[in-house]
Amino acid sequence: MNIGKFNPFSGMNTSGMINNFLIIFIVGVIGLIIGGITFFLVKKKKETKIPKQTIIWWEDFADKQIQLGMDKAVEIVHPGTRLRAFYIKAKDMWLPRFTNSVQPGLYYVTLTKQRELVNWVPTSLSEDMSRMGIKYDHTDMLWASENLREFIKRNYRDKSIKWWQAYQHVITTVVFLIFLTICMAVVLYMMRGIVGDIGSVTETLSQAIKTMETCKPTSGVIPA
Amino acid sequence: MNLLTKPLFYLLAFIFFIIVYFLVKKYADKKIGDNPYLNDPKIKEVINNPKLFKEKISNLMITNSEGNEVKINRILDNGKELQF
Repeated sequence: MNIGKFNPFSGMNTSGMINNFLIIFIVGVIGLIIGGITFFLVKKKKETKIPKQTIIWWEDFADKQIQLGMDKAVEIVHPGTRLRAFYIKAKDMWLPRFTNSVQPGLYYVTLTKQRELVNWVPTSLSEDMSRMGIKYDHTDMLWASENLREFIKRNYRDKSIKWWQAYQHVITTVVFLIFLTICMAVVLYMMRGIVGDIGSVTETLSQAIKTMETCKPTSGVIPA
Repeated sequence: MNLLTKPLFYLLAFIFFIIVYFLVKKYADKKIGDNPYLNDPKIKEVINNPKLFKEKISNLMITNSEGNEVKINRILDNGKELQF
């Protein structure tokens, strides 16, 4: 045996083996990608299940409130404590969990001129107006609303009502008149024969009366 | 011998992918927990350090309508000032 020409892979198809190892490697890489995607999807799915809190920012500006913007926050409960906080991921901002919500998951927070953050909820406008002693009446508003509705009806055809529904009374009357006319025509057509018969009967009766008048009675009671 | 010519190879590869999917799903469920946000390093850092949380709330900065970042003096909630 010539040591110089010794090849431990002699008789083996080395290129085929390399190909197979490469294929197995690729399968492994695809497996890793599938694993990564699965992990990412599970994480995203769990994140979407966490309810998001909407915080609407306001600012006291020139004697009125203007909206600054809106943020989405998640509620974080500190493990082992009762402390709850809001975390806005987009701004990396921590806020205390506010108590008053306008509706579940919606909070109004105002930045005052004194640089205070105030969590608030809009109260009933009617109640405020009553408390302030402002006399107000809804009659004008109701009248205006009704007037506007009628104006729209007059000037624009209401597309929600079909034409035959809009004119159903007229259509009913026309159909009724046509039906009545046909009925009258049928009745008159049938009466035509009867009227003809009545004429001949009348003639016969008049002849019979004439005969009776000329006829002399031969028996019975004779009138005085 | 080329693996790509063997139908058994495709079957085994498919089974491998399915196993990977289920194992990773199980691992992710255990690792992430119910609230994935608690695994966020930034959040984890704050919730494990109450002083840092207090500092973050105390140094709260809000951008006002003029575009300036202003430091919040105090936070009022339900008519009371929040103390941390």
